[in-house]
Amino acid sequence: MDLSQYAELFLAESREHLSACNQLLLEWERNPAAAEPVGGLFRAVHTIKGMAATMGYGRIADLAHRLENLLDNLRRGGTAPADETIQLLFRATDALEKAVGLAVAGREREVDLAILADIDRAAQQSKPAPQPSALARHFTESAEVPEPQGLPTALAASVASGAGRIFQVTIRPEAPLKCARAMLIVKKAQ
Amino acid sequence: MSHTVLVCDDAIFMRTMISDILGQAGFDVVGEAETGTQAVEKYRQLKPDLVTMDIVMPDMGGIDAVREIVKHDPDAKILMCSAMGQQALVVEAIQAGAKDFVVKPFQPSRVLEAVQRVLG
Repeated sequence: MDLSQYAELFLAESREHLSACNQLLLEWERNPAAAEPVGGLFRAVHTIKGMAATMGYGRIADLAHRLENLLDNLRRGGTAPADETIQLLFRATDALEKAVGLAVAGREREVDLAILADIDRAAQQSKPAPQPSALARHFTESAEVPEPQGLPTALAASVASGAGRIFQVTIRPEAPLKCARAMLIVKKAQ
Repeated sequence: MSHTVLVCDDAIFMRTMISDILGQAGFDVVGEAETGTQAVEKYRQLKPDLVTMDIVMPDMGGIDAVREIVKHDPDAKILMCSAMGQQALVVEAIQAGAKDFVVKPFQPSRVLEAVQRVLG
């Protein structure tokens, strides 16, 4: 697929979102207690991440992803951000804007990612207390492939009596979001 | 007759690319929506064979849109378009009634495979 035909659209739409980010940051700076700006910022950065990844601009997608993490923490934490955080977000928006321009000009390698350390530090500091997700209760994802084990006795008995069926499913190691794929398979089997 | 599709994403860039991928494969993209609310409205109007649904959208998000559409039409065929790191949201979308998912960055072949699974 020839991606170059989408570069102009990527540039125009990214700039639109970045200009919205600056507006939202000004609004947030004026009223740090407001809850709306962070949601808008998160969506804008998330959209840029998706577009950049699709264009194959890995450095921009990475920068946007780490910024998105920070915004997600701030959003979930729900507390007014420190002025320092707002200033960091302004700088990150600038960095993203520069990165977008460079990438479209074919100079993505020149993108300066020095700001990542600050973004990650702020994300770490703003991390809300962990809550077990609904997902974690359903599945765990392990890097190791478990050894095949014998069937539990009750299950083996129901299979032997013809009351049940066994499916063996293999998910490719490179498949993304394996838990979600597993869930679809379970749903289909039912 | 070719299958009709409604493409839902808040980014014109993504809608254009998905429409191109599906259009070139012979699908008929009959509508586009940029918010969840629009997606629900257009689904009712157009009754497409397939919906591609972004998760993060302003106004009403993609997961709530899936819920609304499935409430109206339990047989709706909805393909989620997600980004990396959204596993919990994709699981929620599947519980809400989405039939399959693809992950950005999109590879046209993967998108078409998923579409075939959903329609098949």
